[in-house]
Amino acid sequence: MQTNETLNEVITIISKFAERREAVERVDASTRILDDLGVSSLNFIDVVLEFEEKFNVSISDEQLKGISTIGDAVNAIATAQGR
Amino acid sequence: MSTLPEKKPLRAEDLRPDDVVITGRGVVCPIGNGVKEIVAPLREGRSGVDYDPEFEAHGFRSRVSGRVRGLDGAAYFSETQILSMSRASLYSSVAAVQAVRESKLLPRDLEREATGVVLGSGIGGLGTNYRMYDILREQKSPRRVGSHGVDTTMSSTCAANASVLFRTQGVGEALSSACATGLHCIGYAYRLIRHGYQDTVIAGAADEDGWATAFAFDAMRVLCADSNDRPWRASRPLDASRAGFVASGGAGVVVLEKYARAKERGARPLARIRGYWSSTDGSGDMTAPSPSGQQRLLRAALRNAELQPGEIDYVNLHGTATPTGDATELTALAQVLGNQGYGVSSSKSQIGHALGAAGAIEFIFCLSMLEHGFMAPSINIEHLDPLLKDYEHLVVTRTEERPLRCIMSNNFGFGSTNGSIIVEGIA
Repeated sequence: MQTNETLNEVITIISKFAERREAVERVDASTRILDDLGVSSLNFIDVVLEFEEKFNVSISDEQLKGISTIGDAVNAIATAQGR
Repeated sequence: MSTLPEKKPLRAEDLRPDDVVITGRGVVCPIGNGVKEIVAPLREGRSGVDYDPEFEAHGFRSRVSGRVRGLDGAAYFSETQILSMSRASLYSSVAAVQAVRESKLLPRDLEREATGVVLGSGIGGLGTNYRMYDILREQKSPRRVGSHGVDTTMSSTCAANASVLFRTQGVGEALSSACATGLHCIGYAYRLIRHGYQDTVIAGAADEDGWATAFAFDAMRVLCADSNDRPWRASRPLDASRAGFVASGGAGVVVLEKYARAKERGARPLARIRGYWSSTDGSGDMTAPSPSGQQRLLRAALRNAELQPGEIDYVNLHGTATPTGDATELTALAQVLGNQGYGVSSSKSQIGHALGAAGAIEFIFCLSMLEHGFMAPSINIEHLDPLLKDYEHLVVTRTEERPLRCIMSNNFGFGSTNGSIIVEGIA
């Protein structure tokens, strides 16, 4: 899967858990998942679980700690896919 | 009962500033979701019990249950809010929203240190627990369960969800005391206000319907298994042929307030809590009802309410339809209240036994009876238990329309735990 496709899929998944619906309309790679979109820290774990299922990867605890923005998530998925 | 003299009703202007009043109600149960929905079926003695294919699929002896129907959680909450709820906490959250709406509490009334939540559950999110265990067993990975395995299933899931939802800053607690849970939560909230720790409390309880909360009772052979072809007849407290209880579920929630606070914000007091008591039997037995334990409870509740036996108009029985429980309860009641001047019935005849939620749902039913002036019937009594023939005139088998002033509601739970609450209507 190419990075742009990954970005779109990541946005689709994260949007389901976003409490700030208005912020979803203007997301980009720099959007912060918790602070800008209002995804709760608990739901963020479910977001990552959906990444793992969608992209058939395993995201390590170390990688998890490094995910703050949507761009971070795309990069973590790419790394887990060995790209 | 119709020969009883009518008493002068309590009026709002008679209330004292430190009285504890009810200003909001919410209910989710087998005869309706919402206080307005339940009044007609309650008054008409309709049954909310039906055939349960899930019970049959799981090989239960009993194949009837009282199920919550037609509840649309999405009409109340966002998808992300629902992620933190089990079926029990969805029920309690819906009932809590209904109660808060009726009380007209605004965010400024909720988001403060004097507003708290006491919402319990007898069993918690057990169905969710089993579903998570299936995932764990099949996928051999706790991670696959997702992040909501704790907030949905912990014993305090009902209280936690309401506290988060309403952003309250006072107590956020969950009592759990088996079948007395709902009554104890409301009683504890009453004490919190009475003793000045809070002035507003959202209180009640919920339990799930369904196989997960019922199968252990089926194993104990305490569920009614002789009416699988006539579900509406299965729950028959006080009847000579009663054969155990019908499993059900739901939620009941009230907003309790110190009257001075309710008056200050212009809220309408619906009823006043007159007294409450909680006790254990001290009998050393886990399940057997104790006549002396029940009598002690009832006398203490009357003392707490500063009432004489003749001042109670109606008693909502625990009345589960187990052979021993009903006979012990009515006999103990008559020993304390006397043998005339009040009516009794069991709401479980209509909705089954909602476990930890039972006391809270039955309390809501009592508030409806006070508001509309009727005693709901104990349905399905074809032949009263001969052991109870001395009390036949007390048992309400057909709806009685009459103004009521004081209602007592009682519950008894596993672990010999007991609760009794007395509530007084306001004209």
